[in-house]
Amino acid sequence: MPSRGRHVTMLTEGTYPHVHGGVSTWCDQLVRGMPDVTFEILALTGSGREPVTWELPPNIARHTAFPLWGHPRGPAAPRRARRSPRGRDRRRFLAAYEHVLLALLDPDAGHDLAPGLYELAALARDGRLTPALRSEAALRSLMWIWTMPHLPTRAARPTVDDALTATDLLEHALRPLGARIADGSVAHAVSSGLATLPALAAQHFEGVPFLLTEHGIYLRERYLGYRTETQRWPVKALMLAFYRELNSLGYRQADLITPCNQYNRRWEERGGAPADRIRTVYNGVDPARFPEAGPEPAVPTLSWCGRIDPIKDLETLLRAYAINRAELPELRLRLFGPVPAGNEDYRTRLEKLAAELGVADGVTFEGRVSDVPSAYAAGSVVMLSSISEGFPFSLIEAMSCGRATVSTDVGGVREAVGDTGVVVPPREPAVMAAAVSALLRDGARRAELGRRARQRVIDEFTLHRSVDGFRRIYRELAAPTGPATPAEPPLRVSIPSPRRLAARVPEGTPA
Amino acid sequence: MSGSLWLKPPAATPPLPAPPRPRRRPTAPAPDGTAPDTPSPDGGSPVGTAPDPLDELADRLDDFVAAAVHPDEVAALLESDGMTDDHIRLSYGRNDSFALAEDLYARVERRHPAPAPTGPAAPAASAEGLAACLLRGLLFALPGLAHVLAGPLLAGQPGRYGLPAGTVPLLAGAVTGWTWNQVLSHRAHTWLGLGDRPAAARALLTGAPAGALAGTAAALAAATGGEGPAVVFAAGQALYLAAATVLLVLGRERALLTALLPLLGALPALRWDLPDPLRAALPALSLAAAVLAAARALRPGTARGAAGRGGPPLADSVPYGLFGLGSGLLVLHTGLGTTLAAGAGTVVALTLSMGPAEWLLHRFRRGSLTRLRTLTTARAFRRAATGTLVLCLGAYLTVLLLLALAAAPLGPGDPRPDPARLLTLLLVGTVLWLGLLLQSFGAVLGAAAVCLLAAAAQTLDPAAGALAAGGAAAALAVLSRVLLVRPTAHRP
Repeated sequence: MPSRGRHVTMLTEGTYPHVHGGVSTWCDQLVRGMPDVTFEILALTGSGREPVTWELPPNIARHTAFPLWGHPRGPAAPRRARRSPRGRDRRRFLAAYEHVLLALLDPDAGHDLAPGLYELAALARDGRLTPALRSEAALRSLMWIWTMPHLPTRAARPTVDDALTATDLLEHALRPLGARIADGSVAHAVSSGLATLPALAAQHFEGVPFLLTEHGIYLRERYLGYRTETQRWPVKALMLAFYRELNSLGYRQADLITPCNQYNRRWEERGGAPADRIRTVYNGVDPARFPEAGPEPAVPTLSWCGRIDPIKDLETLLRAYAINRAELPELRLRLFGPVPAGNEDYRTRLEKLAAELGVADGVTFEGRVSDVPSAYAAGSVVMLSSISEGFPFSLIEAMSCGRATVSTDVGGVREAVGDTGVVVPPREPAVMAAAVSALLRDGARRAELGRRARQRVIDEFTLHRSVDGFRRIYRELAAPTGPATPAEPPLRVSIPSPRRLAARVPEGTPA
Repeated sequence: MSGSLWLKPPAATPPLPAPPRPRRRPTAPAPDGTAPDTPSPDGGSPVGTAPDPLDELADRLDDFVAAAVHPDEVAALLESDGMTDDHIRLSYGRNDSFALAEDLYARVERRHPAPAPTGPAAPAASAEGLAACLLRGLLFALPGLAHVLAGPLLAGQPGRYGLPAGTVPLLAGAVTGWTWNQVLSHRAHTWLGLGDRPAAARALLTGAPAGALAGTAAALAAATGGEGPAVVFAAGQALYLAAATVLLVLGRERALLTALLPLLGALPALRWDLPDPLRAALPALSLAAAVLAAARALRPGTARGAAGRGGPPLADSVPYGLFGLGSGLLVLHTGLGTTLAAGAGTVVALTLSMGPAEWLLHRFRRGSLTRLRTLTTARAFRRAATGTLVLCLGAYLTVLLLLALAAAPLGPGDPRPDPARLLTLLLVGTVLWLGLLLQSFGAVLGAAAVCLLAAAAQTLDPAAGALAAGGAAAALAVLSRVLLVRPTAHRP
């Protein structure tokens, strides 16, 4: 029996250790910060053929890439079976599946997603869920349910193709239900949604404690992401309902929810998360790795650091820069950070915009930099123009370097900055430019803000503090609550009630 | 932003939605501070009450809200537009984005706009597809000319089973090679489908030479004394099959066609006698060209790279080989039915018909996909799919009949074909087309079993040819009717 809180299965979706970005950085920090804890990584990926882009530290005992679109492999993969269930099993499956569909499509009727989902999980662990969902009977169930007279999907006249598409999407989305989590570990999903599926199943069947961390708001991103999909209305309605209900189930079932900012609570509480089980743990930086940046650059410069991605709304930054440039012609804008694969178009759009605004000669795309602190040091002011953020690293890193910041009021930005920087509404270039202009004119204020920003990081947002918070949480969650030996079916009844567990958690203080 | 979900095969990141911006009045003063900029309700109307800012917002976001599936979707949009709760309280008098979103969602009636169409236009692809399919049919038939050229070189005393000498090793080699290459091309195609070209190239690089060896070995094992020339020809044939598999899988149909051009020298040989060296040289030239082209397609480097994870299990490919074996044997039996010469016409017709057959398979698939998108019940779809199935099979059999009538004069003797033979040919055609159809929908195991059984029956009792083919055709017709009219068989 491993000692308490020393074994953690980290569940990621499309992030660590395959992709760079804020959430991955956070995962890496957490794992490296606890060399005494053994981690297993269960990474939900696209095809399962994505390369590992992070160097895995030795305390990662296992890493399983669980593809939504390819064949699952590795220790956490379920068995493969080809036959769909027959006879009584088939009737049981259909009943469970129809329950799930009703919970998604008719949420007002009070159907609960959980029991049906756990039935499907049991099938998935046997490798039988995929053939079952691909069966003709499953398709017929969906076609029957979503054309029920009282449901809004009926008005959209769903076609046979819609039913096929939706069933397929659902089948792929549910695959993680079959992934297994090692006994005796804590399941730590680092986003809502699909990553919670294995944790929900393990919590239900083996009583594994389930910790849920949210950086961005998963559901909100699904809503926004779906707008550009090419699926018809009924498919979109079903899939978004799936994400919504799964999200809520995760909120209700998680033994503890740790958002990285207070702002996320709004969506979490709306999604049904009990307020007493939410505990904010802020992201942290190592002030020694991001030391005082020293003197400002000789030429006035705006610096920005991050992935070149539409969610960062660099158009607004460019437009604001163009306004500032008109009054301060020598002002430069330096954009540090990689262009992720698939975002090349976006970079081209930005270059075109800069040319249209007549400021192309002042803007430089610096690409990925190895010495990140130097990227912040390169700016007189550090900028953040995103339209959606959790608790952005680039902001607290810039603060740790002692730079004044101008950032948009999204997610946890206001909590991070406090009164040590300027916060402006998103998508408002003129307001952003006005803030920059005021700061650039006032060197003393810049220096004062920078000094206070660094102090704020040291007081509130150190890496040490963040990692320590999670170490404590792992220990609390793994503490036995009654008969602790996880075992066979009887556990269905002996699962520690989340409420009882939550009582042991000290009141949610911002860590 | 937390991890992006890939609930679709990973592709380019789409741009984020940009909701329409509020129209600003030209006189709006430049914002001067860091306070949130709150757009004032449009006070422009000279008389009457000021318009409700919520109406203006609902108007502006009409398209988004109408297509939304839940109030929270509207809330997500409002927040991504940079609307904070402070702003919402000030401008709209609602508590937060959720309350405002619920209001908007209730105000705007749902609409279900069709998504923007994607993918290339269909009609152009269809004509192009027909040409490509006809070309492939031609590519299957052309190598037959090599047999016309080399025939006299192999001819000797009558051989076993009432066949000319050398026939048995030739057939053994051909059937082995054909079966092997069906398996190989399935594996390579699967790799290509996974987007892993290096792995496909690697599979071909190891599989194709091995197939050539297997074909030669089979011919050698089946040969008796005095059949030396036939074994040499069979070895060339095995090598050709391997090269052609590589070129067809990698989409180098043109290169293969070019390589086969020397065989057109066989056309005069149908009427006149050619010198022996020429008869040997032309096939050899074609063979060399095909092998060279295949080697070029697999030149060093194509197979390199970190590839080969998550491929198809071998067991998935074997049924394709079995179907190849069964259908190959059936075709051979139709050819050998009476005399080799009289059978040539039917074999030529069958191979040439493979082009239209492939096009009709695509036709069936496209037709049913269109039906999927327009019909709303499984029953209506089943009826429509059955109709398409009957139409496509009828079209194929018509083409086959015409080809058989056209090819009949190729053989010596009575140019009028025997009705019984034609009937058998049509039955075998039905078996082949339905088998290919089932195979293309992944139901290859059933098709392979039926074909193999029919071939085995014919081998045991050649007189049972028509009966075996008829039984197989009926079995496959039932199987197709049961399996292929189900919507789940037509997953995109």
